[in-house]
Amino acid sequence: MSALAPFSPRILPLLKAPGKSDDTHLVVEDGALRCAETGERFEYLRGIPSLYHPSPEEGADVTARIRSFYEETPFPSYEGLEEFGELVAKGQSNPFSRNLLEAVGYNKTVLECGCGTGQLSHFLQLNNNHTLGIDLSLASLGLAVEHKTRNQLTRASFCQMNIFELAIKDNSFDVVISHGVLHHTFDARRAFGNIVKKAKPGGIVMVGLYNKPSRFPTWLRSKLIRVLGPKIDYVVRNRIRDARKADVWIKDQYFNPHETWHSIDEVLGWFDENDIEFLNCSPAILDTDGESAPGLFDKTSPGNAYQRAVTQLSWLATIAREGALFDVIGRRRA
Amino acid sequence: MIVLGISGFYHDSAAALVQDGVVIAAAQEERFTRVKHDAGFPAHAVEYCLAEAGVTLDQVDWVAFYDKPLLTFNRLLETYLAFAPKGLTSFVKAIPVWVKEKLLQKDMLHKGLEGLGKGAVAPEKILFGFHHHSHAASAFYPSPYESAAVLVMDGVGEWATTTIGHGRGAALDLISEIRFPHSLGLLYSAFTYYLGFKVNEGEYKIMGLAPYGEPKYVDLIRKHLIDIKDDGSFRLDMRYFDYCTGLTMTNAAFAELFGGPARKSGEPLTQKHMDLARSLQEVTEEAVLRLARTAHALTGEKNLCLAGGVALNCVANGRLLREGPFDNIWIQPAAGDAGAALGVALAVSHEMAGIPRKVNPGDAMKGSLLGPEFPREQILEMIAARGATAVELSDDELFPTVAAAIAEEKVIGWFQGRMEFGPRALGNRSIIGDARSPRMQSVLNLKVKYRESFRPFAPIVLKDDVGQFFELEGESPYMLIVAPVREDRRVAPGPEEASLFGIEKLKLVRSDIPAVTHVDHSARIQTVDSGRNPRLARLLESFKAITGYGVLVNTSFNVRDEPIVCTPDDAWRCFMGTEMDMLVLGNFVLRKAEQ
Repeated sequence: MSALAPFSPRILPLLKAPGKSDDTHLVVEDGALRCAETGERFEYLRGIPSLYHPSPEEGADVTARIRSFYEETPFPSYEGLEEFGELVAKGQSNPFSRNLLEAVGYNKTVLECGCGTGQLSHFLQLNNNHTLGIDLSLASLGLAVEHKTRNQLTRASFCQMNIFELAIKDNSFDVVISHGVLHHTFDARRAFGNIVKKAKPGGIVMVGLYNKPSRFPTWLRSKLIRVLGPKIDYVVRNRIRDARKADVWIKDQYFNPHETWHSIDEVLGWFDENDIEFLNCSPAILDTDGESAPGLFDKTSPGNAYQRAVTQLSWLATIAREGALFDVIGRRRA
Repeated sequence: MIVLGISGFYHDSAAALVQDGVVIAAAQEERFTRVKHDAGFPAHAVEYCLAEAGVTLDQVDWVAFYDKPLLTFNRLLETYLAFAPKGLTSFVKAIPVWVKEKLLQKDMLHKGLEGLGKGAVAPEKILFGFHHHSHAASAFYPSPYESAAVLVMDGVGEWATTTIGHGRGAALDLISEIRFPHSLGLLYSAFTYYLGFKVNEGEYKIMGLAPYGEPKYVDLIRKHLIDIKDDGSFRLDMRYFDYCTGLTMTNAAFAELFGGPARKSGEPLTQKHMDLARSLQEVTEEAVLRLARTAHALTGEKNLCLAGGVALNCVANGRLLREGPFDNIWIQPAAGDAGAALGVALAVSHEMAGIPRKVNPGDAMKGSLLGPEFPREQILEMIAARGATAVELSDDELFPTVAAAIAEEKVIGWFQGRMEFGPRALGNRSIIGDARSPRMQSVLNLKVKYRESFRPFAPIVLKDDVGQFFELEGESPYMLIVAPVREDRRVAPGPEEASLFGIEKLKLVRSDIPAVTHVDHSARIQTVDSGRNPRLARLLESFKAITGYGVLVNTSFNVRDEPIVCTPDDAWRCFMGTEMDMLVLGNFVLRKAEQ
């Protein structure tokens, strides 16, 4: 198994030295990245490229707790997906990831903020796309790189970064995704403001968050699960066969050290602050054209406040059993 | 005299058009709708066939459907009655569909045809053939023989599951049959289900799995499940099967016999699963060999024609060719129900309309290249619409360029001319690679096809060179014969073999063409000649000029669980969605690195 270049040729030019201006460039050296302008070296940590740059004091405790949690519990696990073909088959059979790949299209650059073990980044590099997955957890990134090396995948790249201090040039990616991550940061709104800058003008932004109010049943279960055991979880009962996988899912869902909940309207507010045009919501907002839109990135109506409130209440009966994660998609205005 | 043949409403809908006894066009509906095994009315396939012939429905003399729906209904009803009241749950679920759709099939066919807006067809022009007669006709009429024995084996038609027939000139008589529920096809499907694969499409995976196993369960299967007589006739013990009365294939007694419940899809394959596959394969081969001996005795013919889903069991076909009583064997490449659309159209042409049959010394299938072709302009349009980067090469540049890329272990999407009819890609909608490469097998499985890594790949080989590589005399133009790689090409895999389990063994090099050598040194061979496919033959010759090897890996141009590509755009999407390195559309070359 030969070692691969850590970054594909379309991704490397989009990186910059952490904490420095967009005019800096990085070059790959043996076991490190080096800033071409300053000569500063950024050593790999446990074999993983790292451009981690600490945040100022604020929120440091949350970041530290989340970091150590995911170092212990890399998410999601690769059991049964060791071969890339298995991962692709799983991605194609899941309507969400299949539609996402279809919507992303071909020959695109995709940034995934909070890629965990990199399964989505690996899947989205199909269609000749080039993906960059960043995460805080070296343990998770280690599994991502291991999968990349084992299957000799050249268009998926991985790097450790701080979501509040991204070592990525502004206006550089066709698509920026953060699926189920920002709610584990100390300030989801600020993190969102950081990542959207990395999309090109006219580029796509997709953010997946725990929903308020439909995350409530999960919170309730988290209070009961110690007593009643993992079988009270729908996903464990119906989707997961592997015991280790179930354990990782339970830890991520019920024992996470930090999470926040967000409504559709709140995200629409973030969109306005960052000059982002609403495109779609997944699951769709009820009684809007989003329900019949064929593509995940199609332009649809966000509906009115009442429609959104009813939609989120209805999620109590649907996505609530799987953690109440919803995604809102927008386009950065040119 | 124009006859339009149609199959469908069960699985694998298809249409075929025969003009004055000559096959003009044939295609499966799934290729157009992109729904695998599409069972709906084959609107697109019919439309294509009419367009290819340049006719409307007004000019069609007969429309022929491949089976008799009333008889099938009768079989369902009688089966349920015979097992009543045990089968009530599935009775309730299955019957309404049959009452609504199958009984009204003439009406549905008529409406479907008129709905195309391609002219009118009078209801009295719609005919219904017998399922196994349609299969037998698809095997005999296009065959290169003046007369031949015909053997049809599948799951079930109306009642027949196995039929022996006798074809002479333009006539075809069915002389003997075995009836439902006793069926080799359903026995195979029952094991397909038990081993955790999809019935009606996972059967060939069982065949690919068999060489990893030992035939440990042959006695158990023959003692309890199937009683095979000397003449090849057989009976299944229905106490172990559930397909008559239930919604699954096997029951608790079956599971008890083999010591555990059915494997669920996605669960790991164990040695036991492989042993079961191998045992089933041996039993099937034994039954097929005995049936062939009976067909030989009944007809006195030296030629045999095969069709029906079991005829796709190319391992059994290989044994039949080597050990059976016939001098020659010809197998309909579209041996499944799709091919029955062609069969019924040929049967109506020769038997009803009295058109004389001209025997073609090769065969009358035109290499099974009977589907749509896309001219240069349409390929150019697609390239422009997708903003793809392509270069157009002359033939003299194209073949050496592609051959050189293959020799560098590049994976090529090869899209040329008319689409194949039948389940196999025969070199016009194919993915091509270097058979000499030890890594090609796993690259193709894991990064191009995204399928189970135990599955082997098949070689295409220049017809004149087949004897250099394989223990096969004669030809196998439709990839339906399995034969061993020659002994002098084999290499011992070394001591590591002992430490490897089951499917891991596929990764070891066993010959100088490892990518197409299965663990038992067998290969599913397609011979290529310039008569049937001149461009594919030329590619092989160009590769041979560079490497000395007139052999390549050929696998269908699709990914797991999708139909084979039809249009240039299908091909482009498949190329972009996988790790193929190069796409060749006619004379256009697209390199992944340049997209």
